[in-house]
Amino acid sequence: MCESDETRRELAKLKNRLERERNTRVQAEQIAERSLRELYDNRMELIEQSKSVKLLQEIAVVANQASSIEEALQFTLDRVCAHTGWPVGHVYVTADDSREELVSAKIWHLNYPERFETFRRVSESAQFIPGVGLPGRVLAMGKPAWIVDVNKDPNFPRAKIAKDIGVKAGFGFPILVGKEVVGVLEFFAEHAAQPDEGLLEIMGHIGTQLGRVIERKRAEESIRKSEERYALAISATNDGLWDWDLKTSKMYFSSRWISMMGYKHQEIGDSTEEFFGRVHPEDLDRIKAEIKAYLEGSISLYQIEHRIKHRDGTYLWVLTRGIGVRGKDGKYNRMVGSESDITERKRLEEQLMHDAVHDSLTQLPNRTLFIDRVKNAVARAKRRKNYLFAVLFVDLDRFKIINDSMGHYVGDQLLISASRRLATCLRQDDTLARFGGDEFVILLDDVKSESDVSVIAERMKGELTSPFQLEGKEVVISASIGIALYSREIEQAEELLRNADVAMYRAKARGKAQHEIYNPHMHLEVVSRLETENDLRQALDREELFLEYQPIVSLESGRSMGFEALIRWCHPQKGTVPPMDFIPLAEETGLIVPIGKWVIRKACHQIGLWNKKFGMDPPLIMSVNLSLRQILQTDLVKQVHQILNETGVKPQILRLEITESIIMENPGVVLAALSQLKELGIQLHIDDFGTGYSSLSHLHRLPIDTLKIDRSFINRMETDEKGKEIVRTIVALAQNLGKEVTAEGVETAIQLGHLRALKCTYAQGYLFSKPLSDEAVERLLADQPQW
Amino acid sequence: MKGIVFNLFEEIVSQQYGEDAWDDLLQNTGLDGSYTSLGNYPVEQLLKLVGAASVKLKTPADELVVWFGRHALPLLAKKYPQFFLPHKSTLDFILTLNDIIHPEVRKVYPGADVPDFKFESSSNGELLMAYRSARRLCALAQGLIEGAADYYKESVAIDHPECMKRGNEQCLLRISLKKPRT
Repeated sequence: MCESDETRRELAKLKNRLERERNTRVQAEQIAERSLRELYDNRMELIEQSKSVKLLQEIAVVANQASSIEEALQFTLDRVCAHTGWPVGHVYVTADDSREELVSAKIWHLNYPERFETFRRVSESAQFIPGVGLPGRVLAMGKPAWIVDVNKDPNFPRAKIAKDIGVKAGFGFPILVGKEVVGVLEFFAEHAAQPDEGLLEIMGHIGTQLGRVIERKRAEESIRKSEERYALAISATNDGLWDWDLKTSKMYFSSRWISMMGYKHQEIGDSTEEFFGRVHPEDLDRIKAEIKAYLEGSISLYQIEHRIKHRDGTYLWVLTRGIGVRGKDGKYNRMVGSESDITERKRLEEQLMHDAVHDSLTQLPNRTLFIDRVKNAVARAKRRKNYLFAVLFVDLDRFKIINDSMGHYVGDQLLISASRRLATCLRQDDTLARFGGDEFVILLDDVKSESDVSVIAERMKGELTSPFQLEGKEVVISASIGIALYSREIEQAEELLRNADVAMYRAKARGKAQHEIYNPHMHLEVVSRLETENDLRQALDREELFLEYQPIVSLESGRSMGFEALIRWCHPQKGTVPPMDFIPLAEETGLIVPIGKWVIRKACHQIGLWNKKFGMDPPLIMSVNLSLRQILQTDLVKQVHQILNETGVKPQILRLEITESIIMENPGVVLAALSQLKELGIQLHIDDFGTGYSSLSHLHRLPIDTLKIDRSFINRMETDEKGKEIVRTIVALAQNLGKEVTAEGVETAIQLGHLRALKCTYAQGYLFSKPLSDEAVERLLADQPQW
Repeated sequence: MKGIVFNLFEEIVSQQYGEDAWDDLLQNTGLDGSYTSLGNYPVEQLLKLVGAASVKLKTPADELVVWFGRHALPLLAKKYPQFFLPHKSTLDFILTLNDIIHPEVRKVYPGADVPDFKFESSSNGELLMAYRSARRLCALAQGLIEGAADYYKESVAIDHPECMKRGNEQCLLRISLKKPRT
C-alpha cells in the first residue's frame, strides 16, 4: 500500500513536473515567437522605409523629367501599383476653373484592363464634389484617405460596381499645388486592408512632388500659349487677333482687331458679344455651326468668311481662322484666332460674279441670271397658290438693219436706250435681261392676270414708238413681244423661255409691233415651221427648187419681150409649196441669201441659153426679184457682177425688182445699193408700186427704170372708176419721170384694152400666160405668138 | 514542417483519445516526439504519425488529415485571435491567407514553407481556391476550411474537382456557402 501510495505520489510529482516542463516550453516558445516577430517587424520597417524612400525618389526624378503631366501621372500610377501590389490606380483632376469638382483625367493603371472595364467606365463618367466618395474626401481634406473595404463604407458611390468586380480596400491622396488640390490619385485592392500610415505618409510626399511638376508644367503651358498667340500675330501682322476663353466666355481682342473695327482700345470690352454682336445677322448661324463642328471634331479647321460691322455702320468682309486649345482634361477650353480684312478681295469677287451674270453693254442681267430668277419663280409658284408670273420675249423689229446700216455704235446706243425705256415700264421686283443681240427678256413677278401682262406689253410698245435720237439721227423702231404665263404644267424655267420665244415669233409673223400670248397650239406651229426651215435648208442641195417664167409682153408689139423668173419648191412629201409659205421663212432665217443668189444665177444662165438659141432682136430680158436681205449684203454688187461674167449675160438683159415697201422703209441703204447696181448697167424695177406710200421726192431720186403697177389696181380697173384713175395717174407719173410702166396681173381683154389706151409700156398676167416651165417657154418662143 | 503542426496533432490526439494514444503513436513510429513550435521537422515524420493513427483508428489517412485540420482550427483561433476576429465569414477569412496570415507566419517562422493559394471569386458567391505543393496536403486545407466554417458558424460545401493525387497539376477546391446555420 505504502509503496503504491508512494508510487502514486511519485507519479503525480512526475506529472506535475511534465506539465511544468510543457508550460515552460510553451512560454519559452511564446517569448521566442514575440522576439522573432519584433525582430522581423523592425527589419521589415527598415526595408519598407528604404523602399518607400526609393519609390519617392524615383517618382520625383521621372515626374520632373516627364515631357507632359500625363506622362508623370502615368508613371506614378504604375510605380505605386507595383509598390503596393494593388491592381487599380486612377487619376482625377479638378475641373477647370473650379476647385469644387473632380473629373477623371482618364489616366489609369489596370492590371487586368478587361476585368476592370466597367469600373473604369463608371469612374470616368462620375464627378466628385468635396466630401463625396474616396476622391471627394481627399479633395475636402487636402490629405490622403484610406478605406478598409469600400463595400462596407457608407460614403462610396461606386460601391455596387466595386462589389460586382471585387474591389475592396482603397486609398487616395491629393496632388497639391501650395494648398490647392489640383488632382487626386486613387488606388484599389481586391482585398480588404487595414490603413498603412507609413504608406500614406509617403503618398502624401508623392502628391506634393507631383504638384510641383504640375505647377512647372502649367507655367510652361502658359508660355507656350502666349507663344502661340505671338506666332499667330507674326503670321499675319495685319490681322486682328482674338482669344476666346470658352469657360468664362471672355474674349480678348488685339489692338489691331479693335482698330480694324474702327474703335479705340478702351471702347471694346472682353465679352463675346463684342464679336458676335458685330457679325452680320445672315452670317451668324453659319459661324456658330462652324465653331460647333470644329469643337466637336467633325472638321479639322475653323476657317470662315463672313461680314462684320465696322463702327461706321458698313460691313467688312473678313476671313476668320481659329484653333482650339485643349485643357488638361483633353477638352477644348480656349479658341484663339485671327481675322483678315478681305473686303477688297470680296469686292473684286463680287464684281466678277456680277460680270458673270450681267450683260456688259446694258448692265442688265444676262441669260444665266435670268434663268436663275425664273427658276426661283417656278419654285415659288410650286409652293404658293395664286402666285402667277410671266416671261416676256421682246425683239426689236428691224434692229439688224439699223445695226448693219448705221453702224454697231449706233446699234449699241439703241440697245442701251431701248433697255432704259423698257425698264421704266417695270416694277422693282421684275427682271429685265438681255440675251444678246436685240433680244430682251422680262420676268414679270407676281402678276394678277393675263390682262395685266398685256397692259404692260402695250405700255412697252408705246414707250418704244417715239423716235430715238442717236448720233444726231432719228431712229424709229418697234418691238414684237411674246408672252408666256406660268401654268402648273411648267416644270422647267427653260420651258417658259421657249414658250415666250415661240409667242414672239408668232407676233413677228403677224407683222411688226405686235404682242402674242403663248398657247400650246403655237408650239405645234413652231414645230411645223422648224421642220419647214430644216427642209428648206436642204432644198437647194437636193435640187428641189426650180424656176418658172412668166412672159412680159410689150403692149406696143404684142410680143413677149422677156420673162419674170419665179421660184418654186417641189417638196418631196408635200409636193409643190407656194412661195408665200416659204419665202417669208427664208427671209427670216436668212436662207433667202443663198436662195436669191441661186435664182439670179439660174435665171441669167437660162436667158443666156434662150437668147443664143432663138437669136431674138432685141434680146429677151430676164426680171428677178430681190429681197431686203439680199440688198443688205455688202457684196451684192460683186456677186451680181460675177454671175453676169460667169453666164456671159450682158447687164442690160438682167432686171432686178425691189418692192416699193422695202425701198420706203430703208431708203438710205437701198438707195446706195441700187445706185451701185445701176452703175453696172442693170435695169431696176419698183415692184408692187402704189402700195408703199412712196414720196414723190424719193421716187424722183431713185435710179429706177420701170414702175410695176400692183395687181390690185389692175383688178379694180374694170369695176371701179377710181381704180382706173389710179392706174392712169401712175402711168402719167411714170411718163413724166421718164420711166416705163409694167402692169401686173392682167387677166382680161378689157384690162388690156384700157392699158393700151393709157399707153402702158408692158404687161404680164394670165391673159397672156401663166408662169411656164423651161420647156413651155421654149415652145412659146418657137411659136412667137402675138397678143 | 513546422513544429507547431506536430504540437497541434499531439494536442488533438491526446484530447480525443488520451495521452497514451499519442505515446502509442510515437512508440509505433519510433519517433522521439520532442517537437517545439519554433523548430523545423521533416514532413515525413508527420506523415508517419498520420499513417500510424490511420491504422490505429481504422480511418483512411486523408479522412484523418481532414479531421485533424478541422479540429486544429479552433486551437489556432485561440492562439492567434487577431487573424480571426476582424472577419465575419469563412470566405473573407480564407481570402486573407495569402496577404495577411501567411506573411505573419513567415515573420515568426523564418523560412516557413507556407503554400501560396490562388483565389477566384465567382459571381454566384463560390470561391475557387487553387493549391499547389509538393506536400500534397489538400486534405489539411479542406479540414482547416471546414474548421473555419465551424468557427464562423457557417455551413460550406467543398468540392474537389482537381487533385494532384488524382494526377492533376494542382488541387482545386470549390468552396460554396450553404445557408447559415441557425
